[in-house]
Amino acid sequence: MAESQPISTGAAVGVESKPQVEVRSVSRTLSLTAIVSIIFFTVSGGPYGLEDVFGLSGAGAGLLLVLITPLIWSAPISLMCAELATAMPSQGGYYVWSKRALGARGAFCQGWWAWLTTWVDMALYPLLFVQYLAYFWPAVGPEGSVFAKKGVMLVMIWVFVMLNLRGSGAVGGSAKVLGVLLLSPFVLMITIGLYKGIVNGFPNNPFVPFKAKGTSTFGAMTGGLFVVMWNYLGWEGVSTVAGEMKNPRRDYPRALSISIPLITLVYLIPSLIGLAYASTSKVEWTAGTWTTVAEITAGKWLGVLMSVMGMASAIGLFAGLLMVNSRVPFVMGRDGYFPRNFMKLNKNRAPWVSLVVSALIYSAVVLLFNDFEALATVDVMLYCGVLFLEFASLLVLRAKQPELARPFRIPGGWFGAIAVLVGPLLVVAVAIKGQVDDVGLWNGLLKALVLMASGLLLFPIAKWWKTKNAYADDPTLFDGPEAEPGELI
Amino acid sequence: MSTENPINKPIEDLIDSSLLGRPDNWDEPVRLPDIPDSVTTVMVPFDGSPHSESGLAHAVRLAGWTGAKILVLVAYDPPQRMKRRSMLPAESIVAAMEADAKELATETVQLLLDRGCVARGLVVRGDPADAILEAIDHEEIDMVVMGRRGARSLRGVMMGSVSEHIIRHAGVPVLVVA
Repeated sequence: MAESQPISTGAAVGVESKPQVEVRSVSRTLSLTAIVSIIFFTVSGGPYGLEDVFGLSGAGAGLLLVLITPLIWSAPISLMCAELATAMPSQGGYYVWSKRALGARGAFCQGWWAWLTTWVDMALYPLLFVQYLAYFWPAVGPEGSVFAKKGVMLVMIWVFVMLNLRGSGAVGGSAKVLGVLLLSPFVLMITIGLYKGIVNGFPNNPFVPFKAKGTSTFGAMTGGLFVVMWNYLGWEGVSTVAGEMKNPRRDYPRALSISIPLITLVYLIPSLIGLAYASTSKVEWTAGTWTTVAEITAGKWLGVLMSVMGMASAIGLFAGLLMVNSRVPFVMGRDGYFPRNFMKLNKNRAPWVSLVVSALIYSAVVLLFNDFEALATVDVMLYCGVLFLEFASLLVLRAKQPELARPFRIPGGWFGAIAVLVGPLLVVAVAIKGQVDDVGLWNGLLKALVLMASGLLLFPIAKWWKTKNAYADDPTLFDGPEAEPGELI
Repeated sequence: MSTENPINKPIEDLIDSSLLGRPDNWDEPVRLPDIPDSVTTVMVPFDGSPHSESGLAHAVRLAGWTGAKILVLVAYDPPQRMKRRSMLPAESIVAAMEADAKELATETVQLLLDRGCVARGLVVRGDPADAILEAIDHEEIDMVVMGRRGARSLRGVMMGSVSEHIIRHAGVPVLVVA
């Protein structure tokens, strides 16, 4: 762009030869409301994608899962993230935590698994999009053509890749505005449903049937567990804001004590109202069913609004995430793990090789997987690997670096630190057992383990590649000193 | 006792002057308010888009007339995370965005120095509108020259453009270039 600029200037006022560029951040201190808002949109963003819980588990069991999962799953994870994020608030997140506690191999595995998770993740949003689109265009629905469905998903991926290539990818920029828009149909559904229910009575007991047809009690409690776990993930998001809290020791527990019940209620209340009007014995609850539920509760117009907002939700999340996730190969290229070509920028300064390769991967996943539950299962299994390395980091750092300043510390000393591990371990064990019972050992467990093992196998190759390439700008990653808090990886 | 017939009064006396679109000081003579004698520093928010390049060109011309220094501001805003998206090595991505922003600022400032301007760069992490408003205060900016629309045109459509926000909230003159 420098050579094409037709600038002419008259008076030159002093000439400096070396450009001076200062770097800084916009100064802000987060209020409690802002922290709660960030946690809410990082973890939840609304009940879109929750429907499968009731289809797989049954109404009563699903509601019970929605109610108890945050207590034994979300709360311990959020406490672990709070201690690590406030001790190392540099926004390196889990990658910095693992590198400091477990060394390069642990950090590499965690980074690799997390990247694999994004492959699956990025295919979830086009799938959610077509499931809400099916309300208007049944050809892309469960009874429709698989070619039409996959075709729309691929078009969605590549349209946003083209927008990113033009340098205008960040449509998902404001979580707050998007969030208010997305939650509005649920607010309307709850208000109308409550009013009609109080005046005329509710047509169904929302807890009946307790179990999905043909399942045991254990099967019902585990059937929708992966989907509900997926809906309660994301507590690491606090690492992005930990450094901007005025008093993390005070603010973070307060924010959690508000955001955990808030997210639970945002899931629970629409589900209660929805199940009171659209029983699981009459309506098939699967991703996209909120449109039908809204129509039954309030009329066609709310079904349309819900469908539009569901599509907007999928588009908003996908567009924002594409901009972040598609840069991973670019960054890995810059760090020396991937070939130089991944660092190429087009004339709009978009990393086009990285974008196109990422889009090809997402397209392949879209073609390989057929339903939301299968994607969410692999997604959560991979995430569990990342999660337990985070817990390992917490314990190792407690042992190796007791002197590390921890503005927020899990109460109860070692007992507290180990106790927070019990709930998530239990949930994961139960979920895997249920999944293996349901879909077999390969689909329920081994598929995810093979993907995880690839991280261990790739580590020596990545190490060799990085050492071999002179453009690698971080030669200390594998053999050098441990990263300090705030150090960029 | 005589009463004045309202029909004979001029219309201005019968209705509130604000309804005629008149400012409060309508009856006072026109004057030139005091403003600073010179423009010392002009800020150009820059993202490399054609619109912001036009803004840069106008700032250079303005600097040529006034002898002002030019501050090139490049803001980058890591995307807001939603729904458990902190899994990625996000700091690496933020570092890459910062490196891009710094590279753009350096190239732009070098271009201005080559053209004989006095210029320096400022790279700010955060919402572009907030970054611009904060820089206006901290850097004692006399005037902002900016493109009408940046690279993030879709966001502009959804959220209202950065330039509109700056026009509304900046306490200094803003020249928006199409």
